[in-house]
Amino acid sequence: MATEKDWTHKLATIDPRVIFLLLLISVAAPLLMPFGLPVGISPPTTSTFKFIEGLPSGSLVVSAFDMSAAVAPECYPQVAAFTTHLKNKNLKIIEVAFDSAGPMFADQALRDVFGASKDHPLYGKNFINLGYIAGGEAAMKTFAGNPKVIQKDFYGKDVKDLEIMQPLSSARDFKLLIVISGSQVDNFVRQFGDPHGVPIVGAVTAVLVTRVMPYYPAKVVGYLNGLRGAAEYEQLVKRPGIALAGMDAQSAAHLLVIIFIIVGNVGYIVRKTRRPS
Amino acid sequence: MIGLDARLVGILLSGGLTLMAYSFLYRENRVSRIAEHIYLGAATGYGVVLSAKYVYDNAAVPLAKGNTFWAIPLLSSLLLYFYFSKKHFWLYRLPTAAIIGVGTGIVVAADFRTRLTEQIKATLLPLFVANDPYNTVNNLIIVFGVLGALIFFYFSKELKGPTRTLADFGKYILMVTFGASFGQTFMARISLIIGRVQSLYIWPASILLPLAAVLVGVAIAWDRRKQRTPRVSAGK
Amino acid sequence: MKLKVPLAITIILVLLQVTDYYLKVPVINTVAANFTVAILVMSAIAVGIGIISLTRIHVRRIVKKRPHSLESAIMLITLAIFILVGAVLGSGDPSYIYMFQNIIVPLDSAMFSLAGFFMASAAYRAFRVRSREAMILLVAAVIVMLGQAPIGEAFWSGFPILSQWILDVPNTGGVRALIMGIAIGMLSLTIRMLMGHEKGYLGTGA
Repeated sequence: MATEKDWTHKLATIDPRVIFLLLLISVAAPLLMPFGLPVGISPPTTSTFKFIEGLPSGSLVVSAFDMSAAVAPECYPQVAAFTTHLKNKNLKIIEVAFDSAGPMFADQALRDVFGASKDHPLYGKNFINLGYIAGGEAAMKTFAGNPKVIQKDFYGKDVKDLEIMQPLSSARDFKLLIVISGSQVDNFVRQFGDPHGVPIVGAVTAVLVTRVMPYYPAKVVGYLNGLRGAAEYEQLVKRPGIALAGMDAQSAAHLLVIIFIIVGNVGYIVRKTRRPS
Repeated sequence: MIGLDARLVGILLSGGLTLMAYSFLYRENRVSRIAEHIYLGAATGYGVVLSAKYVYDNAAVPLAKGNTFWAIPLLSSLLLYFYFSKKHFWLYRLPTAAIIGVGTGIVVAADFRTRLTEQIKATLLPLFVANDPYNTVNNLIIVFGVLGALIFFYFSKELKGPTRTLADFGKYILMVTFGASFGQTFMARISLIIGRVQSLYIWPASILLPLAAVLVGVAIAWDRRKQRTPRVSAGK
Repeated sequence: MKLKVPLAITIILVLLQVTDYYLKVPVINTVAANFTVAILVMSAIAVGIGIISLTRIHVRRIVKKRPHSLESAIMLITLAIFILVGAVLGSGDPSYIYMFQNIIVPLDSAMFSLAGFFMASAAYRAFRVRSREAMILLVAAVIVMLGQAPIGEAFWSGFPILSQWILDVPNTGGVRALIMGIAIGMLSLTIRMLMGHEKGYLGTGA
């Protein structure tokens, strides 16, 4: 039987703060001393890239920000990578937010990729940040039915006279909807995908990927799987960034947790076999 | 434009707040509670500003320009604030009922199609694909996995025979689903930690790291000292 | 009356939205669209209820000198600063964006990321192979974790392929069943609302 000095007991009662520290080291160390493991490209990322690559120049793409600030470390690198691709393909970008934090990241993406947002000479012609529409799924339905329902953009400019908004009558004018979300994509499929036939790409957190799968590839033509998806896309658009830099830390942390699970189970099995039946 | 100094201050502020939140990992303390309360105030205030901007741009300004339609939602929304009245609480129910009615109607109408009929269509896969054993097996797993998982949740009658076998298969498919979900969720959380640590490595936030390490060391030494020093109870 | 009128409003609006989705009748479509647009504004104004409740709780804590009143004071000051600066400068102003990027983003993501540490601790302490089901869950989790990190591919090139297969095939089957169940549940809840049995959303006394 296990006693207080028994190694299985010590293993089972280890201070959780030791685990926190080991996890922190496993993340922090590879960021300082990367081992440079190659990052392969997964099929869903390839599908996303190919779809955007196949869009004709000047096509209207909507980036729908449904992300909170909490998931920014995962979702923003995806946004930076695909916005670079949209710029390189000379596609027109309409950024809209269904979460109050969205417009800030939309603005940051424009500044990071185009160098400026509202002050850029192409603002209003090639891209626009429409800001936040309150109301959740009701807002999505309204926007899908009539994108011109927004009066002013995020910076307070009247949108009705802006060139990029002129050809819009409904979501059917969108050639692609990129959903940046940490909570769900079902609502976008319900309000944009099924009623209007808009192809959807998911730039989603890893948590959400399992819930995207029932719609892939029929409604959601491709998706980026969290930070890993961002790293893959950075390689495809030849813009290495923080996502690629973080992959070694991701590897180390995953390996550490697998070791924790194995060690925990070894201790459990040994204690179980020692217990008198 | 934000100047360089402000940018450096911002990085320091961001790093400091991150470390304040992470101090919770050692133990719950006043510093981490302050960080939580700053977040609560900031996020709430920000949410109010964005909501107010939306109402101003899309309802108040058009109303001022003569579009009287907007008077209806603006005035009916004021009834929401009877939430705080015991006597006239029932007035709060009117706009709430409208919001719930519209929201529910929008979701359920579309959900019947997206999450039910379209998913049934997507599950109608060929159970045998000639010259393609890989897709044959995959289709079988998906079709019987969906059926089995649905039957697994049927509790009105005891399942026996083939339905029991199918339900067991569905149960194992659900276990794989939950395992995949755990793996993905863990990956997501680690990505957030990576993002925060990357931000801490940027100058001048990086000068906070040795300071934080020293503070944690002091806290550990302090706690150990408290544990070793016996308490002298009053009256002895 | 005080209950019947709100219930009637809910029933009428649910039926209006459902009819609007499935039928193309210009009058119904226009009325439904107008109601939807009006609700967006009403939802935004409803945020005020939360602010008032939050402020009341924390002011009461400060006035009655309850524990953590310092933290409550800090919360209220931060709330006031964000509202005032946003109202004066506007949400699109670079200074407001600066405040968002350097206060809200680091705090929100730091607090959300704390769950990763607790997940690791829970995985160590509680993730036990007690049964066949637990074993399947564990194996699937390990394969997905190895497949999604580059180190898995370094060990064996099959991990990413196996991980993607788990997401594409069994996970799709399982999640599809779950979302179909949720859709059926949503439908039954709506039917209960239409029959007037579901009144919880109307608050106390309903």
